[in-house]
Amino acid sequence: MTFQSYEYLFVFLPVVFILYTLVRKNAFAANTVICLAGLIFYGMSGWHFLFFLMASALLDFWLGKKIASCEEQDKRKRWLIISCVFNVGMLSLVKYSPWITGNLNDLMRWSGFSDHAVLMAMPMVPGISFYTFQTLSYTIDIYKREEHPRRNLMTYMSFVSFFPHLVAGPIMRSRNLLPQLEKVRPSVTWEQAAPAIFLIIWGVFKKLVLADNFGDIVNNANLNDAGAGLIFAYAFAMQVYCDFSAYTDVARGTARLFKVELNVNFLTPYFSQNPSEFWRRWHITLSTWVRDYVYIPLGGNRGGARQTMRNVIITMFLCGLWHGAGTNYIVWGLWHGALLALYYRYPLDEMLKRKFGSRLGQPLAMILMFQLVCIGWIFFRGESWQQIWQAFYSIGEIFRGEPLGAFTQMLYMLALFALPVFLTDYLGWKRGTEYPELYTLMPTWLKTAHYVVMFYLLIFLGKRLSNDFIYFQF
Amino acid sequence: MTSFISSFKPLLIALCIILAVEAASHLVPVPQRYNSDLLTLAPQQKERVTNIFLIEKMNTLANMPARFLQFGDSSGFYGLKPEIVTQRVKGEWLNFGCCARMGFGGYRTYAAEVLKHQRAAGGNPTFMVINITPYYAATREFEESELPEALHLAYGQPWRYESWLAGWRLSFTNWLYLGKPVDEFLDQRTDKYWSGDFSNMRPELDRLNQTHGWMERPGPAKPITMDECVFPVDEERLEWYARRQPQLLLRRELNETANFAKTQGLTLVLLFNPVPCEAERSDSAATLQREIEAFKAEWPDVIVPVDFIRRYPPELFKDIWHLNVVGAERNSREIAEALVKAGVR
Repeated sequence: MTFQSYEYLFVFLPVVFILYTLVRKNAFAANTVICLAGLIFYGMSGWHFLFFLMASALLDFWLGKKIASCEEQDKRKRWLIISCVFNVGMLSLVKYSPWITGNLNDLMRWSGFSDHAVLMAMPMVPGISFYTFQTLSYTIDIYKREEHPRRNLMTYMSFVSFFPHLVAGPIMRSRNLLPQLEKVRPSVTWEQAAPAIFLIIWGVFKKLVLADNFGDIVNNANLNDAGAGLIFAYAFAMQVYCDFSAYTDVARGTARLFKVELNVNFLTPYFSQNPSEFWRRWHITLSTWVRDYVYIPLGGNRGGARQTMRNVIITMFLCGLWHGAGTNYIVWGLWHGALLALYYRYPLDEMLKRKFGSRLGQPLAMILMFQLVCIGWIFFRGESWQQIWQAFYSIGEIFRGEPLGAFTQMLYMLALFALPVFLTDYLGWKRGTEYPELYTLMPTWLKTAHYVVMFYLLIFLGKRLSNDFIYFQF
Repeated sequence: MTSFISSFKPLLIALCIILAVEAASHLVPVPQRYNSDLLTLAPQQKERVTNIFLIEKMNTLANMPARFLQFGDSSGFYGLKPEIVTQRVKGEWLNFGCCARMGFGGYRTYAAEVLKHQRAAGGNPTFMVINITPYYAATREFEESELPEALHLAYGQPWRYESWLAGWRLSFTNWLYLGKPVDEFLDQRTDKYWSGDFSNMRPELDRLNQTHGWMERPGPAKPITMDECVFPVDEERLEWYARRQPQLLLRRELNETANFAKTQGLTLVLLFNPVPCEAERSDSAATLQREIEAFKAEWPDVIVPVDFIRRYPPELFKDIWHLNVVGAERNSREIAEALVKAGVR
């Protein structure tokens, strides 16, 4: 079941909401509804996937108690290591074993050792990267004495399986989500429900009309055409942003109906002037997770410049690996690591602002940063190294003066869908928030216009047989 | 209540506006035309010719009351001429045959929609005909196509919207995507089965009405190689199915289809297209034949008037799946005779 499906919007969500509202005053019953809803929501993509979810959740629930009840540092550390090894091990087994064994086979074949190696095939478990990181942060925070273990399994399970963010985030820390779920929450008021519903509709609109159309531009780009690589990169930049942030919008809007506030995951990222700002605006819950649990434990910026850059590169390497089993994801992570290191040493945005003044320097820094991010997206999206190379080659052809035949038509399509993204993000950026959060500030006629326009654009341009959300695979 | 109205005022006004626009646009008759890639509504993707056939047949044939409703893959679409069959059996025969990638699930969804149209038009169909080629029966991939899902979205759910994009809406979509504000199917080069664009396809589609859904297989005949004769069955998978499932995929799908026909009050007729070469030599042919025999034993009311494998000379084919016009005529005569022999008059 996906967020953009009728089953979710018109059956699952209303039924769960009604059930929750009926039992809301009893925290245990309310969390039971949320927990069961989450398990059903998740199980509908494959009931056997529940095994992975339950294994990670239950083990960390138990380990959290063990860590908290123990005073000996060595033992605490041992329990934590078990949690880390289990979660990372399970994640690696599911996500990386086919890739690792595949590469090993290639290596063995290449070295003439054997051509009959075994390839491990594991099913893709939706959202495993998200919930393992959540349960892992629970045990780590208990170990760091920043969190206390929960006695009530149902409350804890509702934190892990809270369906709005279960499959593709935002990655919530237990200290942010559990306190909200533990207490009896007042029911959502009409004033609060209206913007929440707008957020859900906005997310569905962004997914079906914008992300999926960008997706078609990406899929249709013939990289043998001069300049098509540029369209490919720009369109994918828009697709992945609209797709992922749409999921977050629906997740946040849904959570608000249950009086739960999920963390912001995107904040107009393409208006960033430098890589560190980009990572403060892009997939914020992942970047803060790796900052707190990888970068800072590695030493952060406490050493010299060289150590800081090393830590950044390692962190971004792991961030790339988190996204998927493939050298392209690793290169994407390393590319961002290199950008962070480069800007750390040479703050190009500052240099531009000094040279051209803030008025011109700031947009120039943003444009430069966007181009650098798009180069990264080519690695991220490329289905093979040949395709990645073709994309770069096709961009190079623009500068060699090759005729840009299909480029103009593709550029039109790109501009058609990119314009609303740019405009809405610009308005959000000016006010330091996301566009749908401006809903409460809009006059009635503008809100009405939004609903009517979104409805008709969904009819005119929305892709009926929608693509899956990109981040489901991670 | 006041709080509800003030909070949801914009949404309520928007709903009123949408209702008003929709009511107004329904007062104005609009032609049922295509949008790009109608079933998946992906205007940037090229249309699949099979989708066009599905929509066209639904629009032009479904409201004609008939006794026989034929569904199935393209072998029946091009291989069975209703006008010839109905010279021997009574009643109208409508050929809704289309394409293998619909899968049996797609046939049933589509059939359910056709039946709704039939009953609304006062028709009372008696027979649901499934016509497939043995090569399709041997496939393992009935469920892997996305077309059944698209069909379900278009026809099989209460919030279906096959008529949403017509008239002025389509003009707008076409204008936005292609710069041409017309409510017509535009420059869709379709897929490999059709050369040329819609302009030379329209007359062919218009003839479907007269031929009750039959059409000559377009394109030149392809030479038939002996390799193609063998059923494309992955023996390993066949064994896997045999071990894990009490029935092969084909039989399970046939069972479901027979169940569907029964619940609709129809008699199922199962037909197989002829083959141009020694398909019976395929290792899996015997297995499939056994499965069909088992199915027949389980469903004695189902009519299977012709053999699973019937060989015709290769010159009567366009390719291993599809008959040419002469082949289609011979096949239609044989089917008619077989039906009469089976007691269908």
